[in-house]
Amino acid sequence: MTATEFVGRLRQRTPALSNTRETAYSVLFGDRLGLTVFLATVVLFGLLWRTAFLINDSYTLANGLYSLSNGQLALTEAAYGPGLETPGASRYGGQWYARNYGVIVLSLPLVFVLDLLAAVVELRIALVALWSLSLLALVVQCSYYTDGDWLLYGGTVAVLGLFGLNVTLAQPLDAGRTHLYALQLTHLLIAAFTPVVLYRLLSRVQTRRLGLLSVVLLTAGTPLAFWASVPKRHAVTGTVVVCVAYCLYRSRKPADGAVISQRWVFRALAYATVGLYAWVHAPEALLLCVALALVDIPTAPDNSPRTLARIGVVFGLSLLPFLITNIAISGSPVKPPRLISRGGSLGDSTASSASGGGGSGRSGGSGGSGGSGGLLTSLAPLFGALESGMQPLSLLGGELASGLRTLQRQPNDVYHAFVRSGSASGALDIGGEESVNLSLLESAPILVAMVGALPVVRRLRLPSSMADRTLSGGRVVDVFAITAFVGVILLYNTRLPLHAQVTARYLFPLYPLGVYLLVRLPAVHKSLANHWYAFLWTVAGTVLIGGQVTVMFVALTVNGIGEAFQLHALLAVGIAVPLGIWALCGRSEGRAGQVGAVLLGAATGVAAVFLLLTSVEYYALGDAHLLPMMRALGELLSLY
Amino acid sequence: MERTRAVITSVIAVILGVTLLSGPLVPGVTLATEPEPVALETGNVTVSTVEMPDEVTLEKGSYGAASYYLDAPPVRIQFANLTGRPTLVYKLTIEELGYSRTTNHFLDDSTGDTYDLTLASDTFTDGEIEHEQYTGTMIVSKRDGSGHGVVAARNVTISVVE
Repeated sequence: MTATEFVGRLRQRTPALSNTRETAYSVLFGDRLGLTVFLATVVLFGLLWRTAFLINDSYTLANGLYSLSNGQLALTEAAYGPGLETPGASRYGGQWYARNYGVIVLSLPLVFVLDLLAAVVELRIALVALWSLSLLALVVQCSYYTDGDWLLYGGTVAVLGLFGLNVTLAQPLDAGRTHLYALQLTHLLIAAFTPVVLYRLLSRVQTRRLGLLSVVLLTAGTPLAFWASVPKRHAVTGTVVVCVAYCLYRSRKPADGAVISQRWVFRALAYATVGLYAWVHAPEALLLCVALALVDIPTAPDNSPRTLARIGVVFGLSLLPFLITNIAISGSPVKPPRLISRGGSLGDSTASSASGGGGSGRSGGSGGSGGSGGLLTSLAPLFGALESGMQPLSLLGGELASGLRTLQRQPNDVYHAFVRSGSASGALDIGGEESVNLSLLESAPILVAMVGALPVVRRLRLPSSMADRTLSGGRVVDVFAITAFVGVILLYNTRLPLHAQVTARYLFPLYPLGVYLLVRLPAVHKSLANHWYAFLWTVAGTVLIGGQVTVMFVALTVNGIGEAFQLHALLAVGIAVPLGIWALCGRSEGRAGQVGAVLLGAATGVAAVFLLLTSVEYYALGDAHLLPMMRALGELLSLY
Repeated sequence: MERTRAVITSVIAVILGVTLLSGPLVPGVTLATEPEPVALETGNVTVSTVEMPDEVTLEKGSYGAASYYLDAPPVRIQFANLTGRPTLVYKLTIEELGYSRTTNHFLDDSTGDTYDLTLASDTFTDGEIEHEQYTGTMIVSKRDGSGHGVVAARNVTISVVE
């Protein structure tokens, strides 16, 4: 590109850039429906937000943010929790360090905003007002899609009513815990982009209606809302995988956006998302990076050294925050304060088991890709740097291989982790008395519809020659989703079932990936598209009527949280069986399509009822709901 | 269009206005209040009849859940007199298991003439339950302005239901 060309291009883009608001709007949400999805999700997550610690690991993050807001990278003081030695904290040079520094840094501005708010107004009322304003914005956005103003006027009255109700019931919020609230708000906002990006992806791959329906499947049918306000990596991982999938799709289509006019930029963005995610959780970022490179490079239309170098540079830059944090803490770029060998617990200090997505990034290559042989030879001088990047890769390979062996050697564990938890010892809580850790299927019964892939695979024809290796946008995302899906399963297979999972949280990326994959199945998306009315009515009916029946059952027959969880688990498995049979038949014409839509709706509703009751009753965390009306509901409801 | 804009703006103004009211900028207005601490164990309670359950069970978790759940039916109480905020305590002890559980019930004016005194549920791991039957002691006591006292007590058989 010559200088004149460059200036010419800048000029062309000036109108787009000058209208910053429009640009930000389309970059973040795509279109008005994207914004509506975002607002609806934020309102839902706000309803379920409890201002307390669900899980010990979050103490580490809160203390990390506390220290960082006081200008210290190392943990200085246990402002939250029992001490500094909480799960995930690690010791380097005599000092304790937190982890997930990416989200800690992102939360930093929010701490100052919340502290400022707390100085001027009552924090509880301020957050209630923020929630009410989001609801008002949602009402305004929805009113664009209706004739007449009835929705707008009715909606504003409802917003005012709910605001009044919440203010009447309000109790002060402890203004000394802003680090926790800031972390929760960051995670909640990141999580709200999972459905937004999934909508944007599927509205391009399929149709906008299917994009919206898949948002319902994801937010109501999977435990996304449960984890949204929990300061853990899970909500972030979900958003990262859909962002990577979206960028990958756009990189295979002609660029038509307001800001980006070249396809390689989207490819680079996919790698950059993974690179930034390494700052939150390096082992998962490494896995995603390998999956991305394995799918992207062999199927890309353009793999010229120039393109690959550009992508490599962007990826390297995206890794900088992660590498710099590591160097500041441990003195080595590839020894993060987070170890791959010991999943959710404290890592031992043997540096040999350290892992990271780093090292290979700065070598200008495709970042740990296994599919770029030609590139490796051109990088001979940088082989030393690459070698340090190979160590995490070989560790990852070992983890995946042992995950594969688990499938064969411990089929019972796999069954309890993926199908039915029941009274399995691995599904117990840490006290060993309550069966509160559900399997993947019990947490999100809609995922069973993925077995609908079997009849599709039987009809699938493989490309006839290597010339066909260039895949279309949709196919590339399909292959990436399958690769990442399998990768995540193998990465955590050896450790599951495990306590403190609640809804198989290690496998969290499988929820958005699974929803994407099942909506891609012809039988599912045809049934949803043709009978979306039946689908939505079934979801609503299951939540509103089925929810009340479930509450009755829990109140009458259940003595404790373990039994309550297993009742929900049985309901989920109960709906998963007919849904699975329908998916195996793989038919969507006429009556079969209607049945499919109803079954999908019922499975979504069953998961939503579990989600609501868990947030309001089972894990009310001392009735610590952010919204006073939800606290009052939790206090009112006493089921066992 | 004008009217909708006016409606939206005024709703936003109300929400922001109320929020500002809640802070120290406007002294004298408190919007979020802590619930007032109530003086407990006051007043007086006289119990006329007590119906204690005959049977307590340890049931194997339903719906496939692990562990045994203690299921103690409520004690039905009829009051002869109830004033102030007295407390009733339901206590179950199983000596063989080294187990004891109390649940406090805080009564007030809104409590009716009869009251079901419940006991919070508990779990036992499969390893803890070795016999088919245990003996327990059930005690209902009161705490009011005139002090503490036992209302009723009895031994009860606790049977294990698989």
